[in-house]
Amino acid sequence: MSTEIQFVGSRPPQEGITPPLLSVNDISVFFGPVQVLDGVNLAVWPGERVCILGSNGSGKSTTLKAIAGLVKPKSGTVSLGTERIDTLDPSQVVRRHLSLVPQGRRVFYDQTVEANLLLGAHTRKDKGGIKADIEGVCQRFPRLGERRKQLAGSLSGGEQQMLSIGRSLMARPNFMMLDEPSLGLSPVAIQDLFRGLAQLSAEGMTMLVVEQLASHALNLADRGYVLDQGRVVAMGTVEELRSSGAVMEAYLGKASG
Amino acid sequence: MSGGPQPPVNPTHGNPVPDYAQTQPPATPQAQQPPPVGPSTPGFGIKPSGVQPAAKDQDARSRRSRKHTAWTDVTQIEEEDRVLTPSRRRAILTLLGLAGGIGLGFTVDQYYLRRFLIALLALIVACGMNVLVGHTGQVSLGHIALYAVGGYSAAWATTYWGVPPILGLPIGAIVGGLAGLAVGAPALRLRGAYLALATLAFGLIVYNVTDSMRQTNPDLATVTPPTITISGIEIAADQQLYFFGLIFAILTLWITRSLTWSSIGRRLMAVRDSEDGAASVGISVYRYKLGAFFFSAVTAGMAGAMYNYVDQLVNPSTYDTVQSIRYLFVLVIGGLGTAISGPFVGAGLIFALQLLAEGYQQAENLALAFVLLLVVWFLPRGIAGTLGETRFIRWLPRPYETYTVLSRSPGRLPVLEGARPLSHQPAYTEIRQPRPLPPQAGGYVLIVENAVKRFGGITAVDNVNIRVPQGGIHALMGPNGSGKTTTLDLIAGSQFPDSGRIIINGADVTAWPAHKREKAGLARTFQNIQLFKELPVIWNVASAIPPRVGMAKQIFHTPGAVKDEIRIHGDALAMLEEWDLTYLTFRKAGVCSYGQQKMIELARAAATKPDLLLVDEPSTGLNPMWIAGMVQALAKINAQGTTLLLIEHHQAVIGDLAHQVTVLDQGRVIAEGTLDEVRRDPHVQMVYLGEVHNQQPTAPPPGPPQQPTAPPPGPPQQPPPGMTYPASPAG
Amino acid sequence: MKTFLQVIAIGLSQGAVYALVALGITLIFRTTRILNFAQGQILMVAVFVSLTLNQNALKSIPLPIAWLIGIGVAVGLGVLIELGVRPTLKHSGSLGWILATVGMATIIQFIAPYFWPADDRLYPSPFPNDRGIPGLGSLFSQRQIFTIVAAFLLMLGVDWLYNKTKLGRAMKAVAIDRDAAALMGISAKATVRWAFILSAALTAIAGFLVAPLTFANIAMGFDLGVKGFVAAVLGGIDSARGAIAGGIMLGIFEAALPQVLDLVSPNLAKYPLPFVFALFILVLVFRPQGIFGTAIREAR
Repeated sequence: MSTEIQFVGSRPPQEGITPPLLSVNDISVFFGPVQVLDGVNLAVWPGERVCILGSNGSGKSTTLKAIAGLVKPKSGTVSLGTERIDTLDPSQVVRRHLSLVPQGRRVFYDQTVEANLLLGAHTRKDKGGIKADIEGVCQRFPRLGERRKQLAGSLSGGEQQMLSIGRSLMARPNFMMLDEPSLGLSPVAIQDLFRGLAQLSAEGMTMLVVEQLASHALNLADRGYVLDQGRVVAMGTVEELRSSGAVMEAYLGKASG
Repeated sequence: MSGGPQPPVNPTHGNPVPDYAQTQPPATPQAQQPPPVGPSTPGFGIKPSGVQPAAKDQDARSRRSRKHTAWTDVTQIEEEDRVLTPSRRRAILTLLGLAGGIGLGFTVDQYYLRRFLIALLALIVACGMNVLVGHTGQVSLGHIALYAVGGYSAAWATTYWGVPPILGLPIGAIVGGLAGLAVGAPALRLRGAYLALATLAFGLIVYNVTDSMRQTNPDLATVTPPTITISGIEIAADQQLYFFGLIFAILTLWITRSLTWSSIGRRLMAVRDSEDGAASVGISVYRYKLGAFFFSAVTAGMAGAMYNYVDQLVNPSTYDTVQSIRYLFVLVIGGLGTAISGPFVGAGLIFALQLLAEGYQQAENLALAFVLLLVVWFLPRGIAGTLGETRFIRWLPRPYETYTVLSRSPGRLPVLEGARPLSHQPAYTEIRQPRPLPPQAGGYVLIVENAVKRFGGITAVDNVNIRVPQGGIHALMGPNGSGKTTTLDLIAGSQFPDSGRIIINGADVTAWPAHKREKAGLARTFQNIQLFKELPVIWNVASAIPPRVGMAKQIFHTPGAVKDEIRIHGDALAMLEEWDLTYLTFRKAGVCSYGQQKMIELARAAATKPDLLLVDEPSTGLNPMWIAGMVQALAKINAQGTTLLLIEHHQAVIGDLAHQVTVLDQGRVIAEGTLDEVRRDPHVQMVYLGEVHNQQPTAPPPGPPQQPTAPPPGPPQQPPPGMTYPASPAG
Repeated sequence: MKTFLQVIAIGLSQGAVYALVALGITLIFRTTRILNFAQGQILMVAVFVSLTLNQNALKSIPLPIAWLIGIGVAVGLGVLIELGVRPTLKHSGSLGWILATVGMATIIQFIAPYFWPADDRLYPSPFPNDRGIPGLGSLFSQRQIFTIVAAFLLMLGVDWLYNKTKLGRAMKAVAIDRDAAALMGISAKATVRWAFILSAALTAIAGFLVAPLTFANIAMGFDLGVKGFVAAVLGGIDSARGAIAGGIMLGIFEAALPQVLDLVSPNLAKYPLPFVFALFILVLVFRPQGIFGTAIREAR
């Protein structure tokens, strides 16, 4: 098992010039006795689209959960701007305009689409703004608009994923994390999904995406990290990662080192 | 995104991704069919090379981080176990226990003997409840009512109806057991807290009825039962009663222990961990739950009858609701789900409490509730469970969970001492002849005829027809929510169609419950994995292998039953070996990785030797390497004669495996044919595939001519060598 | 033999109390999917705290203030129970929290005799000179009407909470998916805490309403707790309206049962309870979603 970073591409262009929006410093996470993250470092600058790749169980999802506050790192820090957020409750993290779209969509299946969107706006108090944002989400995802009064559980997988994203948008995040958004979706839904994500990022949303489908993720992102067994084993621009081979190696699960 | 030819930088060559070229089989003489994907190759890996080292790394990591518990002294324990094998350990403990129990009867004075006797009764009840609550996972808050039923029926029979007093015990046991069946039969349709509520209500009914008899029938409410006489000697003194109780306690302990380590116990625990999973391997969930309820009712009734002789007075206040939960409390404090050590500790606690809180019933109950809370908060496995796990007392036999952590070689589980996979004729590695299809099946293992399923206003499955010929691989495709999984549920019996028929192997199984369909030759895996999470991997597989000896033999642990257990474990080990899962044999299934769990679930399904295997999204959530392993595994199962029905999104997987594809949308079949045919269908492209892909990663499986009514096709075609699984299902 | 209207009157007022206890049970269930087996004990403690304050020999505290303090103590107890249950929710399965709540119920039940007498006590009524409602004859007493109206108003309040407020929506979201709710900015801890607080307050009020109709004794907590479960299950455990309907049904069933049993045998009529529990088991088994409830999900 390797403990070294195997591939480091060019540094992010903003490094050293502007402070990162999100910085994850050396976090380690344990589930019971098993160590899932082992000193993960990563940073995201405003407006960037960053992806995290890695094989099953490499700790991608756990990294996002640690940032969102759903799991607490045993050591290391997570900072948003200048503020440490690793000690916060997940409900506090959202209030700092950092949203996580969880793996498996996790919509509130026995409530209507609209109620789901309202729940997404739980942190807000401006009634007029909430109303306007619901309309905005329904315009962005017309399928949701058509199904406003339907129960979320009756939507198709792709629609649920849109709802999950729309629900997160209701908190007006400027930074969105997506955990395996394509999981279990049909090919046509995946195409829709990534089209929607590309549009979001074109509007200036900062994004951190964990994705099983490396090709889609690399198309979307500017930069990427590769995780293996809870460590960052490679980082760089997507072009560098594509050509380095480290991506595919880690992604295909070759025992490294 | 096309998953076609990978970018040139993609290190396809020389990386550990399996390509079929590497696993070309040598000729296998015993093969009945032309060996398709090399299933019978000796040493053929389900998992491609490369997984194992990675998994071992993970293994090493978790071992390293378990330092504080058990891993540091593995070798030491192994050494120790060689001298003091589990069976010797057990024999010594049994002898010590017996000697102690008998010795107490002769040395201790009446005051203590009486309290020991009450503790013995608690031990008997706790053993029964352990089987119900600990092993089967069903919570009852009303067992005191069964105790009361046993006590009253014995008292009335011996006092008023002229039954010899010695027969009080069997009467109590039988009537208690029957009452248990009467309550359990309806109540066990409920789960969790609802079952607890229903049993609590039953307890209240019995209490209120007996309490009302104080006024209406005082003679029945308060009884002074006669003492037992055996050949003229009255069994009334505490010493005699103590020995009397000791005999029954030993009997209960012995049965409980045998039960725990038998096929029955394993299957009860399987029911506890996943009812759907248990049903899928042919376990009748309801009957097993009812059986456990019956057993606990018999022990409660027997203990109730026995208490008559201790107190010589029966009245309603003996059996109030608080008493009811006392037994549950001490059992939980002792340790749920252990074989017998938990009930032992619980009974010890009852004894200690009697001495400490002499005469202060309230203080006793208070203390008990406090200890219970502490245990629930800090020691969820109870005292015995925790001690066994940390091996604080190194001498005690370990509960089975601990074996799963500590043990990595056969011979660790007590029942495994005789099981050796290699000397054993591995039943599952042979190529299996598919069961001959009855003529009325018309060559089809599965026929779904006009199946319709509605949920409220939504028609989830709308007039679906599927026919899968013997030996075929059929795939269901379609957008999410198109009714694929519901169709699978209808076939598996997790749900029942509103109209239409399901025919498996020529038998109309439309109305059969899920567990019965296993008998028709059906097995399945689940989209959300339904493993028995608390059980070691080997038991997950073993629970799918039916025992060949009857229940009675298993309960009394006859030599035949032991031999059969060894056979089952040998088969399970062989199965694991065949699937390259040996390195997980004793790992708790719940702590295995996602990919491992999917593979274990498949191995468990294959262990039932199914004619038809339903596989729900085998590749979802797996990385390309695991997908390759999964495809090989499925091809191998198919080559052994099992017909497959898959739900799958991954086009390359379907392309490699499926002979025939059915595409569903909104519950209806919108296309049928080979993968190539349906991919050209404009409707399918619109609702499912999206953009038209002109690049194809694989040559379409040639397959035999495909019509819905085609005769059974031959064995699966061998996919082109060098095939890898790109990460895009749109491929 | 009572008249039909009398039966209805008794059934309504008694049922209103059951409904309030059931309302408290559903509040917690809706948020956490757990059944608090210590619910009745909260009621008993609230009743006895207010009774002792109101009727102590040194200085009697006016009833309304005693009520408020009783509610305060009940809320404190509710929070303690929430804290006691919390560690068990990490484990899957229902056994942990069933044992924790049953254990705490046992502790409260067996500590109570050290503070309060074991015999029946008269509980002061808010209407000391209860002469019934003019025009209705002696059909309804003032406290019966008060009980029914109070229960109905509280039901409306809880219904409003469920459907119209942020907290109500948050409760449902937490019950379905804690983590997803947290990602929406909903603090599961705070939401669950609120559910226990409101539930304890409702239960305390139920106690103040029922105690003048019957007597106050230490066993009343257990009895009313069980009846609360029966009512909650009868009506459908997930909604405020279901709880009220279930409570009223149970009350009327209980009031009418002796009249019906009397036709069979006068002896039976004295002991209606086994029939109530038998009905409960039947409903549980054959309509676990309640008589009015639509498909709701089973308790874990």
